[in-house]
Amino acid sequence: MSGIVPSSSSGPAPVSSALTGPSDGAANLADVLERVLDKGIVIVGDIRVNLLDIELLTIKLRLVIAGVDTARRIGITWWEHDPWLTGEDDDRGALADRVRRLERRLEAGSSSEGDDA
Amino acid sequence: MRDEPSACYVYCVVPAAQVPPLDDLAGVDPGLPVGSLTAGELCAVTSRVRLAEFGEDALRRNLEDLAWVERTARAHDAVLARALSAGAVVPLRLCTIFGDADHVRAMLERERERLHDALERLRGRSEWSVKARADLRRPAPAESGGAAPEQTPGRAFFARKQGDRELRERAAARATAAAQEIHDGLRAEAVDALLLPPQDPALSGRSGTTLLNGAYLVERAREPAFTAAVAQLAARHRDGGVEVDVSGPWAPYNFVATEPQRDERRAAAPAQPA
Repeated sequence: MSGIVPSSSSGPAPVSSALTGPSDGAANLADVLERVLDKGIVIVGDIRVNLLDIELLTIKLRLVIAGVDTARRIGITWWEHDPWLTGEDDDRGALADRVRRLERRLEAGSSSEGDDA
Repeated sequence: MRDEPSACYVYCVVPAAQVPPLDDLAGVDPGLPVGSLTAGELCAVTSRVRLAEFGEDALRRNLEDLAWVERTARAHDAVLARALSAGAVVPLRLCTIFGDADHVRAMLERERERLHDALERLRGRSEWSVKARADLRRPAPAESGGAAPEQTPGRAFFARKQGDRELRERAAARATAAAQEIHDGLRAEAVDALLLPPQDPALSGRSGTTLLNGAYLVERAREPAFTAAVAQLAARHRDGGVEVDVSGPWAPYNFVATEPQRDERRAAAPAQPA
C-alpha cells in the first residue's frame, strides 16, 4: 500500500499532521472505499453488473469496516488472505495469544469451580 | 487504445461551463485518457474502458478482486478530486458504464433535472471526513492483578473481568459524550452532516475504537474555519484519550442523496462504540 501523496489529483490528504498523526495508505483507502463504493448518485448504465455481485462485495467490505472480530466470530476470514488487508500479523498473533491465555484461564477457572462444588 | 471493444465509463457530472483540465489524468482503465461529453449545460467526465476489463462478465470477476477495486476506486476518486477543484461536481457510483458517447449524452438529457438540482445544491461545497477514536481497552492499569488472595483463580478471574468491564463501560460513556460534542461542534460549522458506520482498525490502520465517523458538507470559503474547529475540538479532547483524524476536501459523495434517503441513513447509522 502506498502512502498518501499530498496532491489534489490523488485524493484528499490530511490537512495537518498534528491532527491526523502518522497516516498511511490504509487510512486513506478506507475513506476512499467508504465513499466510492456505495455513495454517489446511482444512474443505471448500459453495462449492468449483477447487483448481487456488487452487494456481495459491499457486504464483505462492510464486514471489514464494521468489525473484523465480528466477522471472525461468525467464521468469515476471507480477508485474512487479501493482500490489501494483510500487514496486521502482529495483531493476529497478539489475538491468538490472547485467546490461548483466556482458554488456559478458563480451564483453570472451571476446574477450580468444579473443586468447590 | 488498439481495436479492442470498449465502452464509456462515467465518473461524475459537472457544469459544462466549469470543466476542469482532464488531459493529464489517468482513467480507471490504465492508459486510456479522461475526457468529457457535453449535453446542454451538463457535462459528463468520462473515459473509454475495455470490455475485457469492464464488460459485465469481467466486472463480475473484477469486483471480487479487492486489489482491482482499490486501484479502480483510487483512479475514480482522483478524477472527482480534479472536478471538485473546478467548482461543482456530482459523483457517480463506481462503474457506471455506457455503450457509447450517444448513450451518455442521452443519459444527461434524461437525468437533467436531478443532476441540475444536485449541482446547484453542491456548488462551492466540499465534503470533509472527521473521525474520533479512543483506546477503550486500556484504562485499567491499577485494577489488574488486584484479585483478593483468598479467591480461587477462577473466581479471581471472573471478578477481575467484571471490574474491567465496568471500567470499560465508564470509559466508553465518556468517549461517546466526547464524540457527540465533536460532532455537534462540527455540525455547527457545516452546511450538512452525516454519521457513517465506524471503520475497523484493520482497514483504517489506526488502533482503538471508532467513536465518530462523520461526513460534513462545508462551504469551500468556510474550510479554514471548519479545520480550525476540528483542531480546537481535537485539542480539547486529547487529554481524554480521544484521537481525531480529519481528511478533505472530498467530492461530496455522501451528500448527493435526497433528504429522505439521508434521513434513513442517519437513523440507520448512529455512532456507537464498536
